[in-house]
Amino acid sequence: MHDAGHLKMTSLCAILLVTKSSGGHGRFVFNYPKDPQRKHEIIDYTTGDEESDAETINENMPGDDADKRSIFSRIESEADPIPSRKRVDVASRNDDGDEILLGFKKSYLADFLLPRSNSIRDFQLTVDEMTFLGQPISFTKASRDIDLREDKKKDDDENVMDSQDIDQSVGTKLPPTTKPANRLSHFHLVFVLEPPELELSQQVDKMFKHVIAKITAALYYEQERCDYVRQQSDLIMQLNAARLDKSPDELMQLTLKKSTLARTIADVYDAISTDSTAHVLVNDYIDISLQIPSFSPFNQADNRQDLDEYTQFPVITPHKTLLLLEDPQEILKAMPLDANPTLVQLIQIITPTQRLGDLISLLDCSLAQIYRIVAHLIYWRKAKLIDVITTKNIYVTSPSADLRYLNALAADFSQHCPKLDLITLLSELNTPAPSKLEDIIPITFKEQKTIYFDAIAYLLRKGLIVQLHAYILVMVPPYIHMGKQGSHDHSKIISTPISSPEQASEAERNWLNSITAGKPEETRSLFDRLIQYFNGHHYLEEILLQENISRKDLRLVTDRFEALNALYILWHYGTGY
Amino acid sequence: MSVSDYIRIGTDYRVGTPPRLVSVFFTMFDEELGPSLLYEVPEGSIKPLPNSTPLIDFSSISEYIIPKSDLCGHLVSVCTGPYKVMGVPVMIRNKKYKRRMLVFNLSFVFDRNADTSSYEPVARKIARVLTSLEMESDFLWKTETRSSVYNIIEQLLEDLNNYCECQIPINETNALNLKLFPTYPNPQPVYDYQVPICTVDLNTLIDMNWDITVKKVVAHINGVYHVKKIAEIADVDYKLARECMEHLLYYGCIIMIDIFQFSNIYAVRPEIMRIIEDETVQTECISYVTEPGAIPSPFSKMFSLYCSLKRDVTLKMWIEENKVASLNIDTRRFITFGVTKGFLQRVHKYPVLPASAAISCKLDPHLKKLLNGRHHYDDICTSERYSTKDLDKLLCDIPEIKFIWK
Repeated sequence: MHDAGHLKMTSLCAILLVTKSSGGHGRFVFNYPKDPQRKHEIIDYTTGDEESDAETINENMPGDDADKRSIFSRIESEADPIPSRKRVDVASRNDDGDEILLGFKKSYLADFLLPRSNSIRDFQLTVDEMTFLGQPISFTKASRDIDLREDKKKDDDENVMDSQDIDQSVGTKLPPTTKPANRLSHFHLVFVLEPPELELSQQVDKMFKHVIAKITAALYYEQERCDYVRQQSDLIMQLNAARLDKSPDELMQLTLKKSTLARTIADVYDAISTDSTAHVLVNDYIDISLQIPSFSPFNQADNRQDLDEYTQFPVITPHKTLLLLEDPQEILKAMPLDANPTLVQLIQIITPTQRLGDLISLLDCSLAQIYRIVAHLIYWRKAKLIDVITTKNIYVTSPSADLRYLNALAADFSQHCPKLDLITLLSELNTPAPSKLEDIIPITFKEQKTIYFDAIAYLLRKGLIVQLHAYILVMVPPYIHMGKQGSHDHSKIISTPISSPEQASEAERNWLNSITAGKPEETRSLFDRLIQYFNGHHYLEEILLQENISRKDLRLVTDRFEALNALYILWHYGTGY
Repeated sequence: MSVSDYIRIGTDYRVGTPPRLVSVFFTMFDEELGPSLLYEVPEGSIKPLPNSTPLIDFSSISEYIIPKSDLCGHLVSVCTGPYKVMGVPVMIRNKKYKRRMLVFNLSFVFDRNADTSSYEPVARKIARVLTSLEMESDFLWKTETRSSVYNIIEQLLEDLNNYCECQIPINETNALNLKLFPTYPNPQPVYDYQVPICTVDLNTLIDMNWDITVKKVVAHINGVYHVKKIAEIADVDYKLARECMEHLLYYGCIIMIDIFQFSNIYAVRPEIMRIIEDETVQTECISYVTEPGAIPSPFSKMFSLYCSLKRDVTLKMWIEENKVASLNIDTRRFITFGVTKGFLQRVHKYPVLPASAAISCKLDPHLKKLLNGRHHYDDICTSERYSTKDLDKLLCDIPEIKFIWK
């Protein structure tokens, strides 16, 4: 029942771009997607009738007031035949002021998403269920708090004196009145989130850290370098102005085709809203990769204090391997041209049946270097760490496997593995009991087990199966602790896992010594070496490979504990699958 | 039932406990000065004092506190520095006002990362109350009555921080009653085939004001009946029964488990490691699963029993192999404990009829539709009223049908 599945890390519903020219008004430049999908629609109703005597509450109260509100708006609409009314805000004079987005006029969005104060670094505004995030960028040194007329004057002055202005250095005697409107004074790339209850602050932090800070810095740099944001904004506005005969879809397509900035915004949205990675080349100049990192589908559930940030991270060891999650050619295509040659080579040669340790000679590099590349690929969701696929492995259906579109999956599977059937294979892995791969492969197929290896790789990649492991745990029998804790009535019945040799209590050490008493020195040292693995966090194959011992050696030790009823084998798929 | 305190260990469970209120202030639009701060507690949190800097630079966010008409009536929170300011700006239009409108906002200040969801209804209610006071008696417009806003915010800050509720008399006829409720994440959807199990004694919580349907449903929650069966016994619409369950789930009064059957298969989850490191859960386990009055087995025995629940044994086989009957253990409670703590999972059986074999198969077309990988045995048996055995008889002889265990 605890199929937590893959919870989305973010609930991004749109990205907006608003800009402002010095002396001008804020303008709404671009939004992606065209019609943001909202969970909660804000009910927009017009404000009260100025001429009528009936007072109007401009309140948006959910729940018990919903009925009341609708009565108010009904009264209003009856009393006031003219739906549009004079507004105090000057921004509505803007030509693009009519369209409604996310429940607000675009012109009004531009107005309140460009804060008057320049001191706000991380902008965070929540309106009902919707949160607007971004880092507003201001290019004016003058304070925005002063009167607008003064501001204009100042800008004029600046223009006359500012010799660094690119345009100014070219066209020397342009009339000063046209200049202020052209210079970009502010821009703000705004991310609109609609997170579920209680997740806001967590999502906000991640968005700022991993996405907003990076993309905004790149845009800022490009604006300073070559006026990129202004030029692109002007381009998008021109396309908007000439939209007359076009449908909103066509306009969006045209904008994405013509404007590299619009395309960048769309790429970022598509990646972040689907919880994947975006690789964008801002203005064909700045290469950035964006994602909200996640390592385990379960990590949102872990709010335990004792877990540090890295607990969820997979542990890379030489006997593991890397499973690429995409086609190697696709991964290589998405990489910049100056990518590390070892990285490129690793992607080309890696197979899920080969240990990472074996790559040292093939790639002629150190293990540390391989680890770094592996970590990089895992972090960017291009690969995941798995155990080398062998015929001894046991796989079961993943508890988070999405079987809703099984027939479509089966069709896709048959393209990759034409000789096998997905549903049959999934069924065979577990019926009647979880079986080793070698027991599933029919005799006639024995020579072509790579077919099965490919199929397993496919299933692992799609998250349909997980590997089942035997975790080894030794628990100290309660009577061992009795002496130490006195006759605490709990100690009679509770158990504790075995401690590492350094942390073991005297009673525990004595107990361990008594087990190996009279055994040859070899056996005793084997005991000492292996005990650290018996805390339930390590599985059988891992211990064998790590210590380079045989199953027989391991049995020698575990049998002793088994005889004392202190050995437990936990069959599960681990936390880091 | 004593599992309530630890029941959430394995689940994603967070509660939005009310955050600390740092400051409360009241602002209005002044015809000459623009957005103006009228009252604040504690003093100096917004307005600069001679020898201290305010928490908040009011001028930098005043456009969101006293906004243009479009944002009025919405719950607006804006962050500035390490603080979050939340309030519902209200605009009342009437020609008696100098600018034909009155704009005001009673705002709360929290730490930036505070979870303010429990304050949202409070902020909305205050805006509503002040609005009606103003419309009834020019409460805010007249300076004499307006000054009592200071007393309101002073008591608000004090009482909400200390008692999570307050009752503030405003005048002879009006009082402001507020209470903060913790916010919980929305519950998972409830299905007919799930079995609700109480985490608290619902009978002691029930009072006459409860919804009649909820009361009818609650009477039949026994940790054995599934939701559909409860709906039938209580004579309640299936959909309503599910909604009642979701409601109880939201408040953590129940949790949903699977239907207990001896043909079930269970397996331990990685979370099993948490219980071996937690002595409280171990003692709790022993007292929960041991039959009343019997001598409890040590935890090590319980633990080895949990470990022997594997994907290749049904509960029936497991009971026989381990002679569970002789151990003074209530098998049902033993399984329930593991599932509710999240370290044991039911491994469900999903019958699948591949699309290619669907036409030639002679099964009832309605049943055939269910064999698409979306429905497991419990689901099909509950909705189609089969027993597990009946369904096995129907499906096992058809070679095209495969079973996926998940």
